[in-house]
Amino acid sequence: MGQRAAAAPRFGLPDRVRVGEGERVERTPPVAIALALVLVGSLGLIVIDAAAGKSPLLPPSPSMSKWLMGLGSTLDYHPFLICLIVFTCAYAGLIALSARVSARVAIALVCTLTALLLIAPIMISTDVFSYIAYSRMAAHGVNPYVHGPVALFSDPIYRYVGGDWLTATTAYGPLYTLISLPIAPLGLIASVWGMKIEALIAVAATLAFTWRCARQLDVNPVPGLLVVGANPLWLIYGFGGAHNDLMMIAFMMGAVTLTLGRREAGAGAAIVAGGFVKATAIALLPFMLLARRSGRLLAGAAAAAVACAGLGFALFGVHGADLFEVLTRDSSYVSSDGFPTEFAHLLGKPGIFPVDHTLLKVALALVVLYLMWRTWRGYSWVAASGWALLAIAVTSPWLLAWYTLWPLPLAVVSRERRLLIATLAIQGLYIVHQLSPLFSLAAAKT
Amino acid sequence: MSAGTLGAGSPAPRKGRGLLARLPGPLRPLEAEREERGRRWRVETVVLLLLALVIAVATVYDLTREVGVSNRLTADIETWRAVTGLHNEEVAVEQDLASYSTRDTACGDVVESPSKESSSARICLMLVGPVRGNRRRALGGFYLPPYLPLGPHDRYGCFGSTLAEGFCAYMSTSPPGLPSAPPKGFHG
Repeated sequence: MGQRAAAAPRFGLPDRVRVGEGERVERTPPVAIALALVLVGSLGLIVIDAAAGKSPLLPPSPSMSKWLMGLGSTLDYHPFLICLIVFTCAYAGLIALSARVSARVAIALVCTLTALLLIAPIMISTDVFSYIAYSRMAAHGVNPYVHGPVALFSDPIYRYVGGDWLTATTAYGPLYTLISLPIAPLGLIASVWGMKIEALIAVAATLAFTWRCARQLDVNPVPGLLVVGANPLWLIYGFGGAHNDLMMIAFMMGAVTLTLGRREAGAGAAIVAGGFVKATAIALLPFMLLARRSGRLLAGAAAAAVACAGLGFALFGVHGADLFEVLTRDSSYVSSDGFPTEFAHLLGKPGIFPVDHTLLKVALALVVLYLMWRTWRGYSWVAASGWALLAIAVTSPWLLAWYTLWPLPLAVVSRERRLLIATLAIQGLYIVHQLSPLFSLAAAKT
Repeated sequence: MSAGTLGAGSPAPRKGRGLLARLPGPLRPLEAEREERGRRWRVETVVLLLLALVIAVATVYDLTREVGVSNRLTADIETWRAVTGLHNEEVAVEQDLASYSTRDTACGDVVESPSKESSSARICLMLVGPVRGNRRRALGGFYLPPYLPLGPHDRYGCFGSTLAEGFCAYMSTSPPGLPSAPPKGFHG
């Protein structure tokens, strides 16, 4: 075990707990039970208030949670942010105790939290309505790689698509558009439920892969399950908005699981498939190739690329290639939550300028090159991929909460504890940056 | 490599892999790192900590800046209501994005509840200075006819500093039937 322990990757938290220990824990400490109840309670309050309807935190949405109406009051910034802080603190406490939590309690907790958000209305973002619009466009023969949702002006979903995205062509891969197609013929509310179910499957797959990876690595799977499955941004912002990043992450974790099972071709194919869901997943491929140097991996990736590109061409013609132009377009966006914007403000600048975009891309390229070199020289490719995804999120001027989820499951299964701490710290800072309404006069008056 | 590892089994370079095996030692691929927590690990950790510190400081600074801006915009709306004597729900505040000063322009309808079918003229105030008692100082202002966006050609009825600054240079007389007197609460 000595040689193996030195070379084998450690689980993110805590690495001294070996396989079976978490599952042998029969009595979870009362403090951990109390923290789990705080998680359920604070998330329950958010969901009940969200179900009451009109809120600055909810996008206009078809009414989905009518049966919960009347239980809470309108979800305002103050109660939401207080619940978010309480949830995050309880999450931190539970993670610290996670090695002593029984598998049964951990699974029950994650299922309860996920179920609460499953029945909630769509939270925070309008993206899911764009997904539905693109799938409906594809079903009606309108190419979503050529036209924006404005082409569906008379469709009932149109009024729910975010104002900034009405003319935007899809930035998602043809595989995602294809996977979303079965949702297109459904009614308005059913299609939103369809997207929620799609996100739920992605969550379940990611958690199952994370669990399986831990078992294959001979470590306790419970901490990993809690780190990912009870994460506030994962739940409220990611699953709460039914974001397709979750599906991309599921493909990524599928690839890691296949690698551990020495199924290299499948792993390569899974990463490429993830890239055809959302392009960010491709960031893992160079690290995988450098570390494994496997012909079967390369063949699997190439076969999946040919299959997915062929599928894209068959369905959307050469316009599928416009996706690259769209990705270039999206990389020029700026959000107020982006760390580069915050840094620019710190330097007294009003925001970031085109030259800053270039500097950030150069910085990101240097980080990726360094990580590739480290991977070549024996560093864990999973950790390197996680660092690369974290670097993409941190250097992106267009940062959204669900981007900080990309490295999280990788951080959990990698040998690199620093990556997990860095990912959780970045998520913590993202949450801190959301708190301004808590201190402003306008929110205090409402 | 055994199942259950993400790195590899041995820190030694692979042997017998053709071209890769012929590479000089420092360039040869390794199956696992030679040392886990050596000098490089310490340098990386220091760099990461410094980056974390910078990002944390930037985040907290930006949070306080956002709170300040939010309070300023709230004070702008309250000042507009106090100066005009109107209690409109909808008061739009435009920030000075040309020179990034804190001089804001707050505009609202001159009637408190215009019907959906018709719209009224709007009165705008130029607001400057720090927030004191949830108010800011109104330097001056102008009117806008219905439906027009803020634009130099459409302003009329300037009062206070906007008069001297030539904000109403394109429209020296007020359009007939529209209000143009400075609000009673303006003591510029």
